[in-house]
Amino acid sequence: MLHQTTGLKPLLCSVIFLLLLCAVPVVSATGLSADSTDTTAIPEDHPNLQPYETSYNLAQHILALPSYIFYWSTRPLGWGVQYAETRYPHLFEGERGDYGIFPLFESGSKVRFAAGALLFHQHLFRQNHEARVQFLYGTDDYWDVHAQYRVPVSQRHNSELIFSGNYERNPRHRFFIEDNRLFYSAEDASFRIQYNSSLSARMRMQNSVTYSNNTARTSSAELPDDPFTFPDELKGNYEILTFGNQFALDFRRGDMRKVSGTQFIAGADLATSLKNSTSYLTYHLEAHQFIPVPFLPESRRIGIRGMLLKSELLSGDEIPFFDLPALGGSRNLRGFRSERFRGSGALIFTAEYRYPMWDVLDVTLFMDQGQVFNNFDDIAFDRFESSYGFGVHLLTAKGLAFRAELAFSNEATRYILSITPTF
Amino acid sequence: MKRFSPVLVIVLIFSVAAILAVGCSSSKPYATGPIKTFDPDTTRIPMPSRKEQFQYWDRIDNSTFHQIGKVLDLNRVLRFFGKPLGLASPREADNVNKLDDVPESSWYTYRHYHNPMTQEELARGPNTVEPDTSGPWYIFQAKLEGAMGGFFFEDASGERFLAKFDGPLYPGLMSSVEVIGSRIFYAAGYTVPEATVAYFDPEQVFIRPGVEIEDNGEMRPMTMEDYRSIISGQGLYEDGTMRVFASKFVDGRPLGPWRFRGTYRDDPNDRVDHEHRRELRGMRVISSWVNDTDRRDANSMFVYNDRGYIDHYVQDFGNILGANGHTIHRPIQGQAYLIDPRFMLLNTVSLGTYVPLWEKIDGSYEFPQVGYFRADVFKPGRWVPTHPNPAFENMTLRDAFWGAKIVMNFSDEDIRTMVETGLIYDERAVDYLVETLIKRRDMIGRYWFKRINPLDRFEAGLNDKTLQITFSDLYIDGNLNTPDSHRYQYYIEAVNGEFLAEGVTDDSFIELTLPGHLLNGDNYQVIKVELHTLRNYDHLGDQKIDVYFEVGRNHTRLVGIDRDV
Repeated sequence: MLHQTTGLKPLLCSVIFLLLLCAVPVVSATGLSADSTDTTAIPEDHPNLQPYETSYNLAQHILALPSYIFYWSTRPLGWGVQYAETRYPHLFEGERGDYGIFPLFESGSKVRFAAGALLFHQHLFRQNHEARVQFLYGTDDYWDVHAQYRVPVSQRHNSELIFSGNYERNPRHRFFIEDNRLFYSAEDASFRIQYNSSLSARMRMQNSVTYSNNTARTSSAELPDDPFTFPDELKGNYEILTFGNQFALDFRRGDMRKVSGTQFIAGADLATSLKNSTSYLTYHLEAHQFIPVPFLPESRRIGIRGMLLKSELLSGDEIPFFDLPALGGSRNLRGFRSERFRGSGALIFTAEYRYPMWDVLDVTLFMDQGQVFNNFDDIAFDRFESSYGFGVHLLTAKGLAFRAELAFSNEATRYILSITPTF
Repeated sequence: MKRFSPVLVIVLIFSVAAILAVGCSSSKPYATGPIKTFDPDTTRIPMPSRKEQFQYWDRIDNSTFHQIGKVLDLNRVLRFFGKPLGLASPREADNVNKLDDVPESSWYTYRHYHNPMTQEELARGPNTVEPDTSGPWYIFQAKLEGAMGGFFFEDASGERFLAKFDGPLYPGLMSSVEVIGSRIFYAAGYTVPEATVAYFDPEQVFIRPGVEIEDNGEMRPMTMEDYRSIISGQGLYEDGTMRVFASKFVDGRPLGPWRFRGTYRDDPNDRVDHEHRRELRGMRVISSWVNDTDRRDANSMFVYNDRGYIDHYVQDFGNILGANGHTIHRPIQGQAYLIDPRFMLLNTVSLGTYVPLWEKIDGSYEFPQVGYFRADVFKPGRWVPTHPNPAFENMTLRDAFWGAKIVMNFSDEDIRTMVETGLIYDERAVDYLVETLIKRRDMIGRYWFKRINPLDRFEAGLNDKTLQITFSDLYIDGNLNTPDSHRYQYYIEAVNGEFLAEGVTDDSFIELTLPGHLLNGDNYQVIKVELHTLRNYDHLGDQKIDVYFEVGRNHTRLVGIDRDV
């Protein structure tokens, strides 16, 4: 200790002495003088022969040291951007480019955090045939890969065919029984053909057929001495074929930001098990309303969403548990964990105040109210679960590109990073 | 024994450094020898390597990392907090002479303000030749960089040009602002490429063998189909010609863009940090006048000239006045940065109740060939380009005054002459553009000349023993008010403290009889004239100016100007 003390003192004195020496004012070139203004024989000390120079003394360098360190620590990023700009110029053009890649981050959804990338090509194989591949890898060895190929059918009806495939593996998929959190290992694959068309400027239709293969197994997260474990009767493999139809009436106004108007969405999915006689119908009704705040520009608006989901068993024993409507997660009841509440029906109301932070950034303050039920008679005011929060939405010309939100409920505080809009 | 903690040591080091760094050196505010009028940065050097042009990194860097770096630079922080306490002054530019002016250099040439240009010179600007449209044009290179379509061609006379086309929705807009911008910046003193609007026969354009074009990241030979794609959407005039903006290849070897920060390491002549060059700091005022929103690194150019040194070009004026490249400016441009944390914070904490100016106004325009360019919403002191520019950010009041006096020096007639070089076909649009530029010019004068005393162009002469001092009040010269609204209070003394005269004058003329010993000695003496402007209508802009004259037998010379800020 004594050694350290005696070592620092002279060091400090030396530094101060050096600073005093080096902080002698820099001679300004403007102070130099000359005896003559004769340009034909300019003496060496004529100011026009003395160049200006930016100089810093040691004291100024010391004060700038944190900024130097920061500057040089950010240069590798700059070299990377410059290299990428030279090598892959379309990367920086966003989706205006023919092809590109975007980083993806997701949190608050099925896993705590996942990261990956979105690769797209606007004209793969043929003009306007768009391909996208998106993959995410997350905590607990979570995988989600999604590939899509979009083929325009008719420009007049703005119709298109979309072929998509999805593979998802989640070794620690959460499952709730009452307030008890359980885990199971989920592995799902699906293939879907979807036809979208605009029946009019305001009316859209969507038809789809989906083959899905879902497997639920014991999770490695489940411990032998857990008092509650994932029920054996729910484990197994499911093969389901689903036919879906959806109509949307869109009276909303606004491009990047929907600022006023209403949208109605109604849809039904008829699902049939390929392994047994189970079949079921899931229908949903949804309404979105946007109202500009009076006396302010219409970009300050309140958005309200109401949504009802209900599954009805048509034949067989029971609806596969993973296809039952669920609440909680990044798109509804955001203060609760993903699929926190599950029933044969779900009702959700959301109110959001959205206002611009910047050109393509919105701030949102939101409140979610929702409940699940098995029969309509179960719906009651005192059964609503509530969550609230705030966030920032990054927008593109097509709408939401990314959102970061912080949500609160009586069970958790959750942060959400997602590219999927709530409504 | 008491122990020093490492934190204490670091704090002490920074504190001592702060005291030493903030403590300013003082030198005489006047020259004892010749005034520096030239900065010798034109020494012959070996040709430096070419620098790549990047469209994105300078924007990212200046918008984010440079902003964070500013906060971490304690020199800047100390000045920021020391200024209101009177402990520190703004960091002034490094290349300013004793007359508070910028000497000529490879960056800057004395033009209209110092040596008034004729209307013909203003109209000609940097141009020496125009494209020869009497014969065919040969494309020898496709244009790869930048957002706008075009090509490089050689005309019938063998001169080489860059051709850029107007946006299909705004015919004539970009080409006119490019030319007008080149005239304005040239007359202001900057080095700019030659620029002209040309009308050519699109059927008389051919592609030289070997010209390649990028297609989906791959290079392939350029075809006439590519050429037709570039000119598609361009209208034909009755005589079958097409309008194009043509910029002549500069003399020398272009080496890529220079930056608005730091120096170019490969150029030993480049000794002054660009962010501390007055002609770049003061350019902010000139840019604000014409709403030059895209003034950034990528729109500049180093050129190694035939004399063996680097010329510093300012180029790409396609984003000035009402144009934003192929489209038009939006109301936010010039009002805030593309990403502006100041307004973002304000918008957020106000829960949307704060409505910025650009949200209150629509982006409509009267003349498509002018685009969105207004005077009524112009805020000279708050104007910013689309991306932060380190030199502009460093602009002090003295730099702003330098820029403002250059802007105010353009007369109404000068402005019309330069606007007419844009060959805008609608006369009403020309009138509108001229009127708007005049209004914005006057707004600049009113704003900046109220914040620093705008007396300039000092001269002195001796009539026997009577010293006659004249000067210009740029506020009055700019017709921003009537001459009878200003009076000038003066206090004159020798620099050794000997009182000589004091009084108030109604016009910009002071006369005093000098004592014989000041004129008869062997050495010249320096006298100081302290001036205040007394305004009838407000107290702004009455900061003092100390003007220094060297006097002696049959000798007077202006040797120093020190403006109070």
